[in-house]
Amino acid sequence: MYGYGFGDPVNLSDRSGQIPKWLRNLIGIVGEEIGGDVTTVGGISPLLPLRVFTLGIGILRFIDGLFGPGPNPTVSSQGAPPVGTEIEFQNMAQRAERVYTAHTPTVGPPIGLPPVAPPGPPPGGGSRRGPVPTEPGGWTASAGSAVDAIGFLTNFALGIGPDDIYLFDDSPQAADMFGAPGVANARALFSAGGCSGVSNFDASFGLIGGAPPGWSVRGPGGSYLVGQDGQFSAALFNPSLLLFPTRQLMGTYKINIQNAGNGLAQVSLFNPMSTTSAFLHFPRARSSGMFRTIRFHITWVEALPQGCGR
Amino acid sequence: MKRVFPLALAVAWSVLGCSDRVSRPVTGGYCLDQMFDGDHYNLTPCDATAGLHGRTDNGPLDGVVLQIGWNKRYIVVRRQAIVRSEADGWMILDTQIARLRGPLSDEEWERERAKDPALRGVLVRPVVQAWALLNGL
Repeated sequence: MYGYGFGDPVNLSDRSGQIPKWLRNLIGIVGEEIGGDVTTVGGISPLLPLRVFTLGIGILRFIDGLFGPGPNPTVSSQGAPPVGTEIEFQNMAQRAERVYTAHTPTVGPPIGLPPVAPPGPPPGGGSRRGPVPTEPGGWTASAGSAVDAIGFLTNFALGIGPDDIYLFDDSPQAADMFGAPGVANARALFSAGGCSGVSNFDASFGLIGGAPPGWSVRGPGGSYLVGQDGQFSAALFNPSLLLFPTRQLMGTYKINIQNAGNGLAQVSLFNPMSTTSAFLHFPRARSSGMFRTIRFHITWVEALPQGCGR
Repeated sequence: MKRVFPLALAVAWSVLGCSDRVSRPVTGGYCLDQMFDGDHYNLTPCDATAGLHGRTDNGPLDGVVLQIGWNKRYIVVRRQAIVRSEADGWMILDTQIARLRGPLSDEEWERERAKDPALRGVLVRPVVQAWALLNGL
């Protein structure tokens, strides 16, 4: 796909033949994390082929995205690294680590344990925190995601930060959403359908939560009065706002679940945060400036539900 | 500005969580919804409580709309199923008696169409074209 074969060197040097300092630093971070050489596809360690291969492909894709397509990209040495570069690399490393761990359960820590390195700040803002607290059989939400939510909201209000925010397994946002009613409903449908896959499953968020899928009640505009999740639940307080701010930010979202093989499922969520959704569905969505639309993409890998073929 | 910004932030915070969805009535109390991502459309009851329900919030078709046509009584949709192990295909919604048939293969749909004169007149369009039509474009 990228013109490289397994074990081929990846050219990360700029026009002077040197690897730029910023990129060298990032490679150092990633290399330390995976314990391998990331400057070759496949790496140098015969013990770590999959994790380094995965990461190598990730790096190629990343570099192609940054510097244009081509089998032998030339890295620019001009200026500072693009915004979000470090985060992207760390995310890549952690994803590679998770895939590697999942494929070799006897070598790495079991799925669900926190990543080795603390996750970086989300691209849209927020602060650096420790790893997401996780435990086998389910994730628990992090109250720290409120800090990020305020960051996202500030970016939204001021029109700053990236338009697309990508969050992965290691983020508190993924932990927030892992147990959301919509995700649980999609997971149940995925399981009932033989774990072949679920696509474009809409999970509604209303004023009141708790509706089974298919029984949400429309509100004015494009809103829901009663949704699968909501501001108020049976407990008559606002769990979304107080405990799971990401669910509040995501509102109604789309879920895709793919059978990733090897006993794993990849869950992807998508939702845009726009003026339409934020202000009672009256204003039109904006593409730039203050209150412009920010799109959230949250992805994680989890074990297939019980009863699915592994 | 100093006062407006925190106020706007507070308002946005308190009401965030809804979503962008635009609905246009089709026929018989059903609406075509253009969902927030702009790339998928659902057919759902326009009314808050009436109409057929599915197992998903995507509507009674339990799928997204790829092609759609309608007359006063029928809505015909070629759907893509939400659950991949279920068949895609043609769904015929009879809004008069609240009955849903499908998914049908192309051949089965042609046979149904040939049998029922009311279905013969249904002009099926790609959903984007139908959406433009419903928007008067």
